[in-house]
Amino acid sequence: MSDMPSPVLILGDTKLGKDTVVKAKKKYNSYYWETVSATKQSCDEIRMTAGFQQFGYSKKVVLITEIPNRKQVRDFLADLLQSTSDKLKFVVWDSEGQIKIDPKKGINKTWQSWINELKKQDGFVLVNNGGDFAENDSADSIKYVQKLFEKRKRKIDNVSARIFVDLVGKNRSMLASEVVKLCLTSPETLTPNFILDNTFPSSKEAVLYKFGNDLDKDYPTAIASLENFKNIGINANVLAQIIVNKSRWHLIIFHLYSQGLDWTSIRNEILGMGKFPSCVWHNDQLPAPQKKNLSVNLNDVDNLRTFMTRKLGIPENYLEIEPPKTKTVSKAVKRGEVIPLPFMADMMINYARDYVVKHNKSKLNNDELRPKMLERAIRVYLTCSDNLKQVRYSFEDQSECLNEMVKVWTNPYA
Amino acid sequence: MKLAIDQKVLINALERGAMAALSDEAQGDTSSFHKLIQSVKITAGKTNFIVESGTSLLATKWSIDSTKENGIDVKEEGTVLVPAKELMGWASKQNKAKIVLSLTKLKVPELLKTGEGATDYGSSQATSVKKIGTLKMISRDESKTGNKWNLDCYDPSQQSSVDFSKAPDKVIQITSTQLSEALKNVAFSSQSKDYEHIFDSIVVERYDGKVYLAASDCHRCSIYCLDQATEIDEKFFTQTESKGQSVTYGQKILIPSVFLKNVSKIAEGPEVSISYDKENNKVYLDVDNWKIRLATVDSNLFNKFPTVSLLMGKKYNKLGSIPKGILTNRLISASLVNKAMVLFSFSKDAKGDSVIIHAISESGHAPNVSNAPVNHLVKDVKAVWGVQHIMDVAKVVKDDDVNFMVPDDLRSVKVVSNEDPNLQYYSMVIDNPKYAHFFEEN
Repeated sequence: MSDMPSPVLILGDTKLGKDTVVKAKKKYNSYYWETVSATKQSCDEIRMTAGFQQFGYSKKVVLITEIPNRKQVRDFLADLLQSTSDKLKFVVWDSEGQIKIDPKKGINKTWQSWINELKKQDGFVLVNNGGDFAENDSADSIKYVQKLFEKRKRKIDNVSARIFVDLVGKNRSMLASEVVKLCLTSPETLTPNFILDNTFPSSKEAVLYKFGNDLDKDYPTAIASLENFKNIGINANVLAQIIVNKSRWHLIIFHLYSQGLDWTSIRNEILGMGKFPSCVWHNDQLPAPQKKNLSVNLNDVDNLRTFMTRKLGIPENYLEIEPPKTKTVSKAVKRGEVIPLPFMADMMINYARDYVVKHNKSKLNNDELRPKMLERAIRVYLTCSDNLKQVRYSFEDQSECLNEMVKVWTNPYA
Repeated sequence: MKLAIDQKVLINALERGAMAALSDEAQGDTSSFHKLIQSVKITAGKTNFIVESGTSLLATKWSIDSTKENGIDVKEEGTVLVPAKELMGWASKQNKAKIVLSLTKLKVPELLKTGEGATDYGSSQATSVKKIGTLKMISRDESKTGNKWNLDCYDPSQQSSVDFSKAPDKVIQITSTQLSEALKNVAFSSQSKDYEHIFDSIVVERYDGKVYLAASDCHRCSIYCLDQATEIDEKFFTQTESKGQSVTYGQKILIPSVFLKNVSKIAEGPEVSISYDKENNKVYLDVDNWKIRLATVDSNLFNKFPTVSLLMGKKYNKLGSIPKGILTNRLISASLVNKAMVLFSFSKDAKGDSVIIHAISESGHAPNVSNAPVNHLVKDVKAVWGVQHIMDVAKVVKDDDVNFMVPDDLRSVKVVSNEDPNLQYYSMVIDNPKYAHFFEEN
């Protein structure tokens, strides 16, 4: 067995940190492990624990947990960790998550300079389990998931990994624990279907993805899925709302389709739907990445004013922007309806193109196809919307309404 | 079942027989079986009155002859299974009363659903406790008045009894007074909780022909010689032997400290017999008509508890003794600055031998210095010892002075008692670079 490194600093995700400690205890079980709390115990007590000889064990590991955000303790620990020797090892675990890791900026300056101090010691090992991924950070989270599956000899492509991240959420420990569970039953190569069927939904959109995916298959699958979700306690209102949302997005797709747009353009249009400000998202001349950057800037009132007056030429006196009356900002800002993620837009387009249009192509000629498809989409939307009202305001025939909605949604014919 | 019993006899029986049901483990149980685990089984027979309860860690059985001389008058034989805490709580309030317990059976047993338990995972595991009737409890004291109460009675067949007749042969017998004395002297050295249950246990080990009771938290160790122990199975209690580099560990038994302390507090019989079931990791105690079964850690882990021969085989020389009252007073003062550890500087002086106690803290307090006289100091010694470790042993020893001994390498300190030669206490020294300059002065 290789000699244990010391000092070791474990930071980042708490759950993964705990796993690291448990693994280390197993690996270095010839050492006597003592745990101290840097918050609850005084520096003198920690010094005593480190300095004590023990009966029957020649080597010892002092595990220091619950590091407080206090300069005195940081200085003390930096001094204490220098007493590392062959017989005395240290593991410092930030079990309370005091060392915050910003997804963009990394570790803050105070803690970083403390870590740099520790790094000067030979044998120092930093185990950074990372914090949560940023909301807009897809690449890193997908890579992280792919690595976790790779470790367990499973293959997962980008699309499936992305669906997995969307379903579970961008939290490292949740992702890690879900990968372990999924690998118990997964085949060597993970498909989107397997992920959708077997991943435990934790994000609020997960039911939408799973149920939405089943709805797009065929009537028996959709009905079975509906029953399944009802049985696990998902409210009928939620399920009805999902079908109505889908039928509304479906209507928009066929509205654009009836105007002669191709599928790629439709995808881009629906992804821009409801996004603020519309003058950026619906500007055909701007490429997609630029739209994203510009929209972030324009969420600021001053920037938006400048943009509207200087770029769009709107006279300044036309704009009436009232300053906020209080410093509190309402959390419930009303925004237009958006499709949560590109993956959802792909699902909708695939359903429209490969299921609905495909079934009608042989029966309708080219001139009839686009208007008829729009008519069907209107009919589906109105039926679903009427049934949603029934589900909301009547408790007796909820199942019947839901069945009716599924039936009209899964019938592809115009 | 119907019987009349003296309150004192019932309390006595419940303290022993219901010990498992009243334990923290049983009372904190949240499984579907919690009603059964928290209940005590009382069997009233023509010849015997038996009170028993059990959990996975502890099972107890108390039996006594059911005679009027013993304060028990069985009018109708039978068995009941009733909540122990409630019965104990009620019975303890019926001062010096005669208590009548009678079972009123239901025509059809009632199923009590316990499926809400936190560990119930579905219908396949759902269990129900069968209520067979009500135990009516009536007390009447010298004033011919009293109290009435009822408790649910569950089906006694739902709680299996431990068959103590299958306990292995005893390996040692100790007088209960010496067990109690030994535990008072050693138990404070064990950890309050160890997740491996090594250092929160008391060890029984044989060394140099004698059997010792020891407790340790890995930094200190209290050892008590059980010189009144009899019927020692020497074949079982093999001794640790070292031949060159290789060490053959002797047989020891680890017994959970918390249970052993509770047993020793109320053990009334003259002798306590101990037997050990190696296959099932169980220790059996037999105290007259009280049988106890305790779960212990796997025997493969016993050697994680350091053998007493490590300490007792080492040579310690007399250092000197400090008057207990003065030592305690100085340590209390020093602990205002550093309650963890202090430096003891023993020095010989023509004016009188003394010890200087230095306390230095990381917290920024000014150092604290105190001195105390030392009797018969043999040599100058400097060592950092734990404050609490010395104060704890000072509380335990009955002598007026605390007698210190040290080995040549000064890696530990031994405290012995002239009043009770069976007691030995060891504490390890502490390496603290903050005190390094005191050692450099030499």
